[in-house]
Amino acid sequence: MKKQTKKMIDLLLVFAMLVTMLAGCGGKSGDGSGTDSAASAQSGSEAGGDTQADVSGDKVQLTIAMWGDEARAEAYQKTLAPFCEANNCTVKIELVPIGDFFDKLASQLGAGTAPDVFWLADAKEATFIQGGWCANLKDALTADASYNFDDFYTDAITSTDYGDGGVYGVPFSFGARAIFYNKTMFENAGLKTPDEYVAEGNWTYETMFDLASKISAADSTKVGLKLWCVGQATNGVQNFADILPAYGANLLNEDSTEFILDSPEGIKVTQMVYDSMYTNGGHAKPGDDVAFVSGNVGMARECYSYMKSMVEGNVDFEWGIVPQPYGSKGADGKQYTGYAYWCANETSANRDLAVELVKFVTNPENQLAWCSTFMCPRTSVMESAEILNPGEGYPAAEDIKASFVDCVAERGLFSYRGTSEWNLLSNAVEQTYEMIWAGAYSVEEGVAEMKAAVEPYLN
Amino acid sequence: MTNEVKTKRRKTRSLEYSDSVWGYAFIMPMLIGFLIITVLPVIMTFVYSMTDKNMMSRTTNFIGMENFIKLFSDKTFRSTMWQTLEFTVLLIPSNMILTLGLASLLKDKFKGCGFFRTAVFTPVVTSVVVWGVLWKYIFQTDNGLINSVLKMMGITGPQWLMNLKMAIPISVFVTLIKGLGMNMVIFIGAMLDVPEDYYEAAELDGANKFQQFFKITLPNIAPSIFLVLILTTIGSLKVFGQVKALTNGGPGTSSYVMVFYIYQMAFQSYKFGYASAASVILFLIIVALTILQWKMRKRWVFHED
Repeated sequence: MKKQTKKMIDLLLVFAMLVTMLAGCGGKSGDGSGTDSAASAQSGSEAGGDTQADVSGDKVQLTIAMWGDEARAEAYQKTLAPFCEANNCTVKIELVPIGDFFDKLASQLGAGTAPDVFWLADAKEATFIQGGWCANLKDALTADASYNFDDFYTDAITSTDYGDGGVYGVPFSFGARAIFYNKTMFENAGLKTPDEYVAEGNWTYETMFDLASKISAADSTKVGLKLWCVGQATNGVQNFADILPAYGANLLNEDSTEFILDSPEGIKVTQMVYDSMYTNGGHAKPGDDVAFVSGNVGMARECYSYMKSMVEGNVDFEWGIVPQPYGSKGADGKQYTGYAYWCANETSANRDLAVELVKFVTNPENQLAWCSTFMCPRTSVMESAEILNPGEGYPAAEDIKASFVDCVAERGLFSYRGTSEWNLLSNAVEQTYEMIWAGAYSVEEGVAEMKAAVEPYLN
Repeated sequence: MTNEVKTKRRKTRSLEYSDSVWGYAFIMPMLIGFLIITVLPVIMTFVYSMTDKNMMSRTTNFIGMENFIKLFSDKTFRSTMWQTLEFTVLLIPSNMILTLGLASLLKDKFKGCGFFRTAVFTPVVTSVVVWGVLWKYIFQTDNGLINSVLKMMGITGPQWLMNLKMAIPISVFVTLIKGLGMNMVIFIGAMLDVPEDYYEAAELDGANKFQQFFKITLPNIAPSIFLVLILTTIGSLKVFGQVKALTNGGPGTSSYVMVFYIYQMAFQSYKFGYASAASVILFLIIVALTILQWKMRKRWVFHED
């Protein structure tokens, strides 16, 4: 009896250790990467389920995946508080660095642990939409007149339509860009400033490249021009997206079924950029990470929110903004933009509530409230005082209007229609550009190689 | 058999049983963790390698060896294997020679040796990403430290990271500097274990420092050299972070290495099955090389317990 009791005690102890260990493994602990709404019960799931409803007490908990910092997550919690109250739910925001965002989301979707609501951007939405992971929001958005669905720019709201007329993501940010220029640098070099060329009606890409080479020639420590976000998307699909249509060229046709950069205009533009980097000088070299805010760059193509960086950066030079230059197509050269979207997870157990959340957070009032952070492609937002008069230290309202609003109205917007293998397509484009910059191919050879590399990934 | 002996045996068995239960109980957390975190993913990698698993697709089909056949007809994969080999061939000898040299210099105590040891070891504890990004800035074309210094001397530096022939050697250099400290510490430890008497006897016989190094030090630290060789080989075949941060595989695909390729396939194109097949090949290469080195150790590792 004594021996059996001892054995029983041994087994019980082993069992207790296992249970304790497994309980420890399954425990939930905050990792600082997300914030719960104030009302959220602490027992909520960290990852946010999509196959089972997350319930905090008697409330459903929705999980949102976005990029950004804690301050952004907290601000969204405040924006969403009325929604949570009205729908008796809580919201947990997962912050994921944008560099890992799409990989992580894909892994979560594959594993069945994806958030209920998530952001998508940069034509990568195609992979997720065509995979059937995004809910069609159109009926919910158009059913309510106060949502003002027609207020969106047409290109923006139709950009997630992959043939069935659906709206699989609501754009909350778009990237119309302007040319930022360093007035002090132009004055020191004794050059006419871009706004003078704009006033004369001579603001062309040829002029801009010429000015860039003159700035670098005047001071070899300065970079004349940074046309794209060097160091972020060094040579990607988006880099020449503005300049190509200005000359009637483009990388892909409208529905991304054909590679068209091998047109004479496409070759000409690519050669112009190459010359600006390597022959005439002026443009930053690929991989060189220089910021306009540093004061070492004469001109840079940047988005609306970059003005905030300039104002908060307390720069010791004068700066201004002008619209992007014209090419040979004049006002017919559409402006490229990428979009960032709010999407609802089609496979979520809380799908309908997730759709309602997307509708709520993208209504006109909320998009206006967030316009200092995200320039939203709604007419009412773009023409609001919040956009045109952001505050002290910013360029004049008429300059902002001319550079970011009128320019879009005059030339129109376009975005690339993503493909189901957009990442591979984008990689192929980047890799071939790199081969051109590395001198392995001439521009013409490189473009021909790019065509062969890109074609397997077209729609 | 007397009752007393029987009782004694029973008690011994009972004690043995109790010990084994406790033993299993104590290793269980580690064992379960190992099974879930290491063994299961390895098994799943083998399973996925024979499927068309795609993270963006909700169905997975068994496709046998198709992924492996595709891999060997994939031009990028073949060049990736050659580049990984180039990386390994450049890294291992340079790493061994430099770390042995540094260990020989820094094994003796002298004024400032602590500073030098710390300086060589510091990159080991630096984040791979931070290290890669730092060197990326140093190697920038117009704004990098190296080309700025060259510019002051009137020399126009090359596009270091936008050069097809330089991408792998630069990645090797950056990896080499980062890993020197760890191997140096292993060698210093081994060198300090070599009995002083050997050197005294050699000096009496008229051996110079080089002869002492090649005839005494090297044979005596052979087990450590063997260990470092295996670790560095495996490390170089698995290199990823430096390449991702420094060149992102470019220009073109000229600095693609195996793990970077696997990452691209799994997390850029979401082809998990295909990436798993590449992982299996990498696994088999590492296992084969390790077995080969293990077999060869008998020929040159003499001083081993």
